Amino acid sequence: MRLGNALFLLRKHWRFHWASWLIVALLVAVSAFVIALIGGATRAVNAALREWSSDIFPPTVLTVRPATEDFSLFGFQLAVPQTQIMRETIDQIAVMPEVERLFPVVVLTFPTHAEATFMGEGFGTDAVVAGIDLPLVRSELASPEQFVPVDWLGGQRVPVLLSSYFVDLYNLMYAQTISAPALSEQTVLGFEFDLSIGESVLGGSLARGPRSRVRCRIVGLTRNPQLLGVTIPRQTVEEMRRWYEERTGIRPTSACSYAFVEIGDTGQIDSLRERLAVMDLLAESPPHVGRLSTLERLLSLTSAVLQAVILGLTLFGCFCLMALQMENRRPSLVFLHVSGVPGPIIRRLMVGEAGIVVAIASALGTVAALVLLNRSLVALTRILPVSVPTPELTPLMMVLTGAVTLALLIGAVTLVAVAVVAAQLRGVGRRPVE
Amino acid sequence: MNSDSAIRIQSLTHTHPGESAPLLESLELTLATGELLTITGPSGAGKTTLLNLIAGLLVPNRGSIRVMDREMTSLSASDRARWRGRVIGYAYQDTRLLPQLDVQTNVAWPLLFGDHSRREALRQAQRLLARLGLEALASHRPTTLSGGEQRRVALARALAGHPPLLLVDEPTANLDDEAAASVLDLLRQVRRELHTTVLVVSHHREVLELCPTPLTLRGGRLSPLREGAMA
Repeated sequence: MRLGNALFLLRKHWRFHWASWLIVALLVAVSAFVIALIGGATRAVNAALREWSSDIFPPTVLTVRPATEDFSLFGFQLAVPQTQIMRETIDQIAVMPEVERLFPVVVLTFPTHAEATFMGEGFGTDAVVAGIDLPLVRSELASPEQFVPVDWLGGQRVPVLLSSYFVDLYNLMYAQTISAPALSEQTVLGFEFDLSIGESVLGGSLARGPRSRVRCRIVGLTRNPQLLGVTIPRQTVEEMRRWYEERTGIRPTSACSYAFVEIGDTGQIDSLRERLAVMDLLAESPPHVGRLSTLERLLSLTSAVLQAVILGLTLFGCFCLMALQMENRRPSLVFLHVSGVPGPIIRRLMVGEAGIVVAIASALGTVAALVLLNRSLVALTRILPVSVPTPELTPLMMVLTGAVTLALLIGAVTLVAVAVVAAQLRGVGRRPVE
Repeated sequence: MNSDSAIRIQSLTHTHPGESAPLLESLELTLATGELLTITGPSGAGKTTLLNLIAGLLVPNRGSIRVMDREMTSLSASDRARWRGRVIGYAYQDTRLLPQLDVQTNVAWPLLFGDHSRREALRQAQRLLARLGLEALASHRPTTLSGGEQRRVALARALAGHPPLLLVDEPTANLDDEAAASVLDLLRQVRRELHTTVLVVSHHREVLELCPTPLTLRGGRLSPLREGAMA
C-alpha cells in the first residue's frame, strides 16, 4: 500500500471514529500525565535525598567519639573515661589500616558570644564554635578557597560555615516575632558578624577569662546536623584555644572533641569498630542513613504501585473502548477481507491508527506533566526551608521519565490494540459473510 | 484441465465446524469464462457457503476448487486473499457501503489498499460508474440512495478492480420489482460489456431468468433446475 493512501485512510478512519478515539486519547493523556508526574516527582525527591544523604552522611564516613555510659533513664549520658580525644589517639587512629582520611573536630572550650547588626538592630547569642578541615565541607561551599585560616588577630574576617538550621529557625519563627523579612541562602552568604570570645550571656559568671573580638563572614551554609553552630577552619580554632590558654595559664592541649573518619568501604566498619573499642572510642554511622534509604525504597515502591494501578486502569479502559469500536467496524472489516485486502495490511493499518493516537496523547500528557512538575519544583525551592533538600528535575530526569512513561503507555496500549484487532480479524475470518 | 474454466469444482465436501452432516457433498461445478450462471436453492442449502468457498473465504474439508486456473485449497490464507483481490469481485447480500463516504470513494475504497494512487483509484471508480450508468450517483452518500441504487453501487464496488469473476449473493433480496429489474439489467450489462464471468445465487425467480440453464443446490449437490420448479 502506498504511504499517501495509508495516510488518507488513517485520516478517514479517525474522522469516522473520532468520538471513540477522542476518549482513548483523553484517557491515555491523563494517564501519561499522572504517571509522568508521579515518576518525575519520585525521581527528583529520591535524587535530592540521595544527594543530601551522600553529601552529609557518606556511608564511608564515620563519627569517632569517646565511649559514653548511657544513663538515658536519668536524661543524660556520662562520658567515661574521657570527653575529648587526645592528639596521640588521633595519630594512632590515622595509621589504622581501614582509615583513609581523618578529620578531627576541635571545639572552642571557652564561652563565645556572637553579635550582629541587621536592619539597624543589634542581635546577640552565645555560640558553639567548631573547627574542621576544608575537605570535609568542600561540597557545601560555593567558593572553597575562602574557607582557609586567616590572621584573625590582625582583623581579617574568619570564614564561617553556618548551620542552615539557624536560617530556618530565623525564617520560620523568629522573623515573624520581630516583624523582619525572611532571608534566602544568597542573602545570608557574605553576611558579617563579630564573635566575642571569652564572653557569654547565657553562661553569665562562667565568662571570667580574657576577651577578644573576632570579625567573621559567612561563606557557606551546611545541612549537616552534626555541624550545628558556627564552623570555622580547624587551624583558627586551635589558634584561638592557644591564645585563650596562654592568657589563662591553662596547660595547652591539642585534643579534639570528636573526629570524622573516612574508610575505604563499608565492609571495614566492623573491624574498625573493634580496634576503636579497645581505645574506649565509638565509631558511629549516622542513623539517618538507614532511615533515608528506607524512605527512598518506600517512595519508589509506592510510586511504582500507583503507576501500575493507573496503567492497569488505562489499559482496561482502552481495551473496552477499542473492542467496542472494532465491533462497530466489523462490517467494513468484512468488506476489506472479502475484497482481498490481506490481513497483515488491515492489521498494520488499524494498529497504526491506534498507535499514532496513543503516541500523540502520551507525548502531550507527559510533556504537560514534566513542565508542570518542573515549575512546581522551582516554586517549591523558593518556599522550602534552607535546611530541607530541594528536589530538582534535571534534564536527564526529564528525558528518563518521559521515555519510561512513553514506552510504558505506547507499548502497553499498542499491545492491547494488537490483541483487539487480531481477535476481531480472527472472528471475521471464521464468519466472513453470513 | 480446461483452461477456459473460470471456476472448476471437483468432489467438494464441506461441513461447518460443530456440525456432523456435510452441507456440501461431492459437489461438482464448471463455469466457463465469460458465462453467467445462476444457482438457486432453499434457505440453508449452502448457496452462500459455496460462494465463500469459491472466494477462498472458507476452506473445504475435501475436494478441489480452481478459480481462474489457481487451486484455491492449496493456498495460504494471505495468498488466497491476494488472489481474491486480483480475480474475484464479491457482492454479498448486505451491501455494507461506508455511510461516511460518497459513492465514488466507496467504489474506490478497496483500490486504496492496493498499488493505486488515490487519484488513480478515484478516476477508475469514476470511469466504472460512468460505464455502468451510475455516474449521477457518484457524489451521493449511500444513506441517500434507494435500496436498488445501493445494490447497484455495491456491484460496482465489487467490480472496482476489474475482476474477471463476479460472485453475487441474493442481488434482489428486499427489493421491489422495479429496483430488482434495474439490478438484473446491471448484471446483464456487466457480462455483456465487461465480459465478466458472473455467478449469482438467489432464490428469486426473476434472477433465474438471467441464464438459460440455472442450477439448484439441494442435499449438498448441484443439479439442473426443472422447468416450473420455482413457480
